[in-house]
Amino acid sequence: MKYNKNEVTGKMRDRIILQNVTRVRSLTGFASESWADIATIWAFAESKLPGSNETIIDGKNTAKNVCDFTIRYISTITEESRVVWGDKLYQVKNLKVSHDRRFISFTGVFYDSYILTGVNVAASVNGIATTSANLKLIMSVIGQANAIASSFADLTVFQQGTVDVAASVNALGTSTANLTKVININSSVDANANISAPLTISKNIASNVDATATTTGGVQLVKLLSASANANATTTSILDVVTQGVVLVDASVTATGQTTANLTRIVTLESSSTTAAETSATAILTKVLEASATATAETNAAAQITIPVNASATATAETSATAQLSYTVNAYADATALTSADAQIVRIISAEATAMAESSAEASFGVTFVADVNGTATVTNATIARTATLAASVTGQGTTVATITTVDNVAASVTGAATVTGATLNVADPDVTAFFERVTTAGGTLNSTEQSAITTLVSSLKSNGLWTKMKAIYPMVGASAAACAQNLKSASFTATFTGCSFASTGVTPNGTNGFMDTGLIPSINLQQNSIHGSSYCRTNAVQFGPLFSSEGAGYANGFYVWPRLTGDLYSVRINDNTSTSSSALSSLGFHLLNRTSSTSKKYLKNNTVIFDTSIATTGIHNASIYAGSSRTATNNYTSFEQSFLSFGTGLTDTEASNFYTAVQAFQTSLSRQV
Amino acid sequence: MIGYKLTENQKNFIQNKFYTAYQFINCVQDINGIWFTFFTDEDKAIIATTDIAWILECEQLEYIPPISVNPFDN
Repeated sequence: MKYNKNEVTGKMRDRIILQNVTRVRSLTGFASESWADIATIWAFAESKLPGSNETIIDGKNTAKNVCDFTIRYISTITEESRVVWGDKLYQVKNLKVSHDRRFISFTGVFYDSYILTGVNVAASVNGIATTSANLKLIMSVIGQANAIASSFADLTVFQQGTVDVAASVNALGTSTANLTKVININSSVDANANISAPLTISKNIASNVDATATTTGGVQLVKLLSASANANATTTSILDVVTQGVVLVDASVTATGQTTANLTRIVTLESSSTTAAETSATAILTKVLEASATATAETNAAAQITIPVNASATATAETSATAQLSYTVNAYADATALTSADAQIVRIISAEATAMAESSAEASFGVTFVADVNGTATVTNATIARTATLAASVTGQGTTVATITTVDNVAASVTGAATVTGATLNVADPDVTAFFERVTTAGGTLNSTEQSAITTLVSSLKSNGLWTKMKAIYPMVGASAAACAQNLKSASFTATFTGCSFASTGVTPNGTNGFMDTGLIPSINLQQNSIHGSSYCRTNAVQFGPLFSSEGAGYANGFYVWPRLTGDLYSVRINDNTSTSSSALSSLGFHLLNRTSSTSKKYLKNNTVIFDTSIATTGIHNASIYAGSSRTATNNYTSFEQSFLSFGTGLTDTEASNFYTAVQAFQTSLSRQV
Repeated sequence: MIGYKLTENQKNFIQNKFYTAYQFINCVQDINGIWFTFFTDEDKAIIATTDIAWILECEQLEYIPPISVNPFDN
């Protein structure tokens, strides 16, 4: 062949595929062939139009088309090769090689009824969607891929061949987001592959859907994750399989979704509890005290005041536990009498009410705790006792005319209203109250038994007319120097002690240097011709010394009692210089020295007259009375335990007897009688 | 009875001295004219807290009382 190689080279603009055949025969003699691509090369293709002639091949009218091809030399092409140019197959005919062996030319023959073999129709859709964002709320994530592949072809299989139709859809969706709330996550993949081809057979059509949804993240609450994949593969085709062949239609959908999210769900728990406790108590106390007193003091007369007391109190408190009502009524009275005596009026009325309410409950979530307390108390059987006595006396000597006016003002005020039902009002004796206060102020204490005994003693002394005869009374209660030092009769003549011990049973000097100094000076505070002194002795012993004494040198004008000295004798002087003495086999009991006139001298022990003689007074000493020791004479210390002392004016026989009874009852109530 | 022996000066210093509101010290001479004073255990506990606590450090001796005058002799 002659050619212009440069011209030919420039015209090689057509792309062809060179194919060669491989023929085999099975053991049964069945022959088969297969075509394979050898090379894809450039060619100069020149169609010869119109078609040269028609023929019948295998019973089919077939038009013959011819095209001349020129290619670069390739050794693998033969008369049995074929080429693919565009969508047509050309059989190689009339191979010619150039003289320089650089080019080959041949004629390609194409028949219209050819069935393409070895042609793969591939359609693919790649869709990649990538979203990258920080989403706080993603209502929906939708990934969708649509792949449509269609092929139209008339296929005729003259020989055994394979038609592969594949359609695939790859959908990848990746989302990276921080989600605080995900409502729905939907992903769907729709893959549609439509193949329209004349197929006479339908084989197995398998569709597989693999859907994998993976969620990775810190999820506290996952609402809903759903993934679905629908894959529909539909093939509609008409195939004429002339020879045995296999048609495979595969449709697959692979959907992969991945979600990485942090989901946070906050749940708030609230608990509350309310507790309320109410206490209501109403105490109303109304008390009216009205008192008036008119006292006229005359010589050797006693004035008494009667004060009516009306008190009412209403207290209402109710609780589910204990309710008590308390109220305090204070009454004050100032009384001034132009006498040598102090008048005091003290009114104390007290009541207490205490309301207590408790409630307990457990409060848990959603439970309200409420507690109410209403307090109501009812006072019943309250006893109020009151005894008031005002006494005033005036002693006038000479021609002096004295007029004494005593005015008592008693005022009491009570805030509130109170009604007491069935109550008896007891008002403490002011003298008793004053004594208790002196003990307390001095630092001493009295128990309830001692207080009760004192109250009874004073009441007895007053009711027997003895109270006014007293100048000093030492009841020796409280078991301390502070308590035993106090004068029951008044705030005067508070005693002091040295070398003494104190017990609930009385005061005991040590017998070596101990004694009690009453501070009461006979010549000032007592009377020479009307005097008494008493002592309650709880020690039975022979001791060289007195129970009490005030005397001058050589026991002059002595006022003393030695209850039992050497030789079992007593010795008594009552403002005289005569040591009246007689047998004394015991020092125990209540010793009373009594002088009611300048000549009457009496000594009683336990209400028994030891002697009643007529011995004149010689004088009255001017030094204070000691208990437990002589006053002037030295070294007459005794250790008699004394549980009562008194000093005052002289007593009548009846008064002396009543006095013993009252003192003995006092000792008995304290369990220290002898 | 055992008591605290005192010198004349010590006696003069503490005689009639109060160690509580209602208790005072009384000193006496024994048969030999030696001054003594005496305290109960309760007294000692109180005095130990006062400025005369030094008394408790004084020599303690047996006290012999002097002879008393019988009132019947008068």
